[in-house]
Amino acid sequence: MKIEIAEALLQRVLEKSTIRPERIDGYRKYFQRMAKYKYDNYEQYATDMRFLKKLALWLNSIKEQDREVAIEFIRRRLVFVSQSEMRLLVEACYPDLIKAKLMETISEQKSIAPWSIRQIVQSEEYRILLRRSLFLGMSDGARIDEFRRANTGKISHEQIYQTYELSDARAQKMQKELVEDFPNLFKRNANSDETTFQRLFLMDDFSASGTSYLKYDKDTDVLKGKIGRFYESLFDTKKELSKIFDTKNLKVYIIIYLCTEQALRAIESNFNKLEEKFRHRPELLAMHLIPDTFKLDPVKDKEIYEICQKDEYYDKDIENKHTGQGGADVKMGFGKCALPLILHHNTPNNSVPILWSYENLRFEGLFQRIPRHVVL
Amino acid sequence: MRLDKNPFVTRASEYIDLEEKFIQLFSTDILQVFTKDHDLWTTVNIIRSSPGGGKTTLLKLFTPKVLHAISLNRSHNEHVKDIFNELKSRSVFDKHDRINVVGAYISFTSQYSTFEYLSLEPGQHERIFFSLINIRSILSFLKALCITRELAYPQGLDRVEIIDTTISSVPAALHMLSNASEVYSWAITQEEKILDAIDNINMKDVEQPAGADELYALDLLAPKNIRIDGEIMRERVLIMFDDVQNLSRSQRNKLGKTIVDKRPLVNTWIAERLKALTMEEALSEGQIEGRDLRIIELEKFWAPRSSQFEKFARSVANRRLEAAFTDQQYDFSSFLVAQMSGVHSAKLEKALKNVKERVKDKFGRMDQFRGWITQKEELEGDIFDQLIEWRVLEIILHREINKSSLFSAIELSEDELEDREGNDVKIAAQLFVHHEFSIPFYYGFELVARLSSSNIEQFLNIAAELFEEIRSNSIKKVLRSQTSLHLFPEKQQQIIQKLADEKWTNLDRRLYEFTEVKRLIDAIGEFCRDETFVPNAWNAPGINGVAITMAERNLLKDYALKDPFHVYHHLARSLVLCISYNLIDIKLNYRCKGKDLMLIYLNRLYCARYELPLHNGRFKERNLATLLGYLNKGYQKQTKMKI
Repeated sequence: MKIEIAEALLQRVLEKSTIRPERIDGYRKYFQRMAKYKYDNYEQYATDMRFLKKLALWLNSIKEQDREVAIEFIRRRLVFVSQSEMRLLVEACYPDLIKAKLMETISEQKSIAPWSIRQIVQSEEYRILLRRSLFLGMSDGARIDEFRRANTGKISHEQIYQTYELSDARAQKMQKELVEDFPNLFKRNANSDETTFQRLFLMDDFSASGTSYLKYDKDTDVLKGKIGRFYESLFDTKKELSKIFDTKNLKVYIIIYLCTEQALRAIESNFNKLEEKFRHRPELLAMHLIPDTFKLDPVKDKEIYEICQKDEYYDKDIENKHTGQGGADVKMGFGKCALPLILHHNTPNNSVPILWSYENLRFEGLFQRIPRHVVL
Repeated sequence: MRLDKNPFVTRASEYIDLEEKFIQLFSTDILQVFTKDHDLWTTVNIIRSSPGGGKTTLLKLFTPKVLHAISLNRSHNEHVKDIFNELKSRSVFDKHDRINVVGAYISFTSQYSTFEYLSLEPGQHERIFFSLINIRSILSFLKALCITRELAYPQGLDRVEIIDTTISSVPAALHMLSNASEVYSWAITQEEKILDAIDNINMKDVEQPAGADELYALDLLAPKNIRIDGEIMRERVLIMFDDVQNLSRSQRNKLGKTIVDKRPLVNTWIAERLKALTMEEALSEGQIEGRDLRIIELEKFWAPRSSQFEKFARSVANRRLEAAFTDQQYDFSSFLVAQMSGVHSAKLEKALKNVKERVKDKFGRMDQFRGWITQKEELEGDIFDQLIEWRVLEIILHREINKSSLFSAIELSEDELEDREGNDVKIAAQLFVHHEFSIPFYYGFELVARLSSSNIEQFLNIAAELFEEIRSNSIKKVLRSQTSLHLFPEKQQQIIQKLADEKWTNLDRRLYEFTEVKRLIDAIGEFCRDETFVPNAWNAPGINGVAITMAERNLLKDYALKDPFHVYHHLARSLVLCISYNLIDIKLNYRCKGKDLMLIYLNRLYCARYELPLHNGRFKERNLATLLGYLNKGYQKQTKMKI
């Protein structure tokens, strides 16, 4: 569709609303620019259905009296994280976060002032600790390929892997590479206490509710989620995985590039249980923390909140057994996270469904989501 | 019409790597700054303007890739042919149509000013600074030469010889070299050494680069010192230094002085923003013609040539529309309705009724004006024209009533009225109805060009906003075919005033001192407004500037600026800031009523904020104490005696 026709369509929909004519031009110009700058790059859009056309159709499916609130919500509250912004978080992960954590250890260990950066980073201890670190992805969204490319020459490719579910063979290979790298990197062979990994960084792109990472089930007394499962195998001495780590001195960091305060609290609240069970406590780090104030608030965002609650903009078909885990309904998103957030590759289900409701439902979202759990 | 982009938001100088696009957007009118009677090639040219004046665009025209593209495309495109002819008349192409100038372009980044922070021996900063300029000039020249002569770069430099490398101040290491290829390698190594030195804070473990006391490159690269394939180079050599404002104050001063004192053997041009000027320079006359030096201030060049600037702006606008829309040709000015005639609105009707009643109430019973009033009563036709006629009459009647006459009972003739109805009064009348009844005044291409204050970027900013509205209309036209693409006066004025307000608000973000500077400008604007809107419009069409005497200006320049404790130091500094950021325009040595004055005009875009006319000329003298009061306290309105 030609851009001017899409804009004309948007113009017509906006004219049939409570919006004052002089403001319509402002909206149209703004969204034309934003479409070009960001929104057209939403990866779930079809070739002939880019943002402006979708916006016009979306607003058309909203009642005339609600359109002003809806477009104002998109104009003021929507946050779209583009591919380049996400890549920036991934690329900044080592220099801004990981490096600081490793330096902190060496600074304490060698009693070097924390601001003597060059001295710490050039020390053999730092370089060995860096090589004895393992970087594993926690999902296919962890962008481990980008992380690897961003740190070429700093971190060996043999200490980065896309999944934390390591096969025995892969775990052994990684340990073997660590030992073999010593003569090359440090001009000596590894001592017997240097043949294991001492730092583990588990990485993922996004968490809004935190439930898929760590959740304590009181009924069964089981720690569920990725972290819980990983700890089970990490501290199971029968498994090969536990042998490649120096479990006594091991520090585990969970790095989430984009994480809500709600998720941070939810995950950390179960760390005591984790420590109780495994005698080990990980540390959770967020590259970018999404504050609670970012969520839609029933008082401050009353108008859009009420629209989200209306049945006419909500199709119960978006609910399934997985969404049920987060609460009764998902009118405010999975886990009631009430986020106005779009990620360039897919909209998280923690965002309000008015934004992401699936294709072919009674009400379709502006940035339709591809479900993770597809019923075949 | 392709509508996904606004052709006015990009800048021609951004397209230097896309020569054809650059040429497409280039307007030859800017070449007027190099007047044909002035020999472009014998003096050092210093080109100054506030940001967006067009300096970089002008310099980049003389770079070899652009000249090549002009030469190649001149027979396919009328516009390119025009540029070619204009350049040929200025000896940029020779009589055989070959490129006759090898233009080396060097842009100064803030990298140069970092020298000042290197821990070096005294004097060494300057030596490294000059050394880097020499090296960059040599490298830039060698590349430009290869492009001009279509030699592979740098391999083709084997065919180039620098005849005498032992001339004064040339580093000893160069004396042994003559092949340009060897000089190239030497320069690359030197450049690396200098950059290493800059990157290394402590200057430890870094080989000290060879310094230089002189700009020897400006002699070394003289055409008669260069041989290509055994023949002396026939082209002129032009070294262009851009963005000199990024240098530190002492670097800039040293560079300028060295170049001018040196009388270099290659043509040297320097471009800088007005903010680079010392305070004294800012308060001095810009346009200086001299034997060895010519200073061209772009805004000052255009200021007295408003119709030429309008033509230039028109051509820039149309070139942009042409580049953006290949389907058909558009004339930007045709989208801007320049007439109020034909516009009928309740507002106009109401205003006309109001003015008529005012005139009749106040002057209707005076015998001497009866004929004039009757004449206007008989007017028919366009409401806006009638309104202006009546408002002109009202102004004239206010003037007449103030004249004491022995013959007040004698009716004045129609001829006498015509004598009094000059163009200035008509403009004043338009301005008055704008002030009183919000009837548009700022519209039409001519006014948009005037609003630009001779700055092409300011013009493009206004045009970009107007274009957005044209674009909106074209979207509406898809829905309603009867929608006109044209912008009517009311809309134009609305856009212009909104832009002026936004720019005003954004000034604070540029410099913290702008809060006070804005108070000064605001006070001048409000004073001008007060003086403009007086019933008899004594200064029609209105005033948009103030003046101080040249003696006061000298006091500011020679004493106040230099002494931070001087009572007028702050005022002088604020005026300099206003000049640097193109908020005001000054004119020196204006003779009026036996006094020599410095005129201070408001930037035309800001005139729209205060409902002032855009024509040059009218001003009122204010002394320094009053201006200082404006700066410190703002404008305090004084109760006036009835005129």
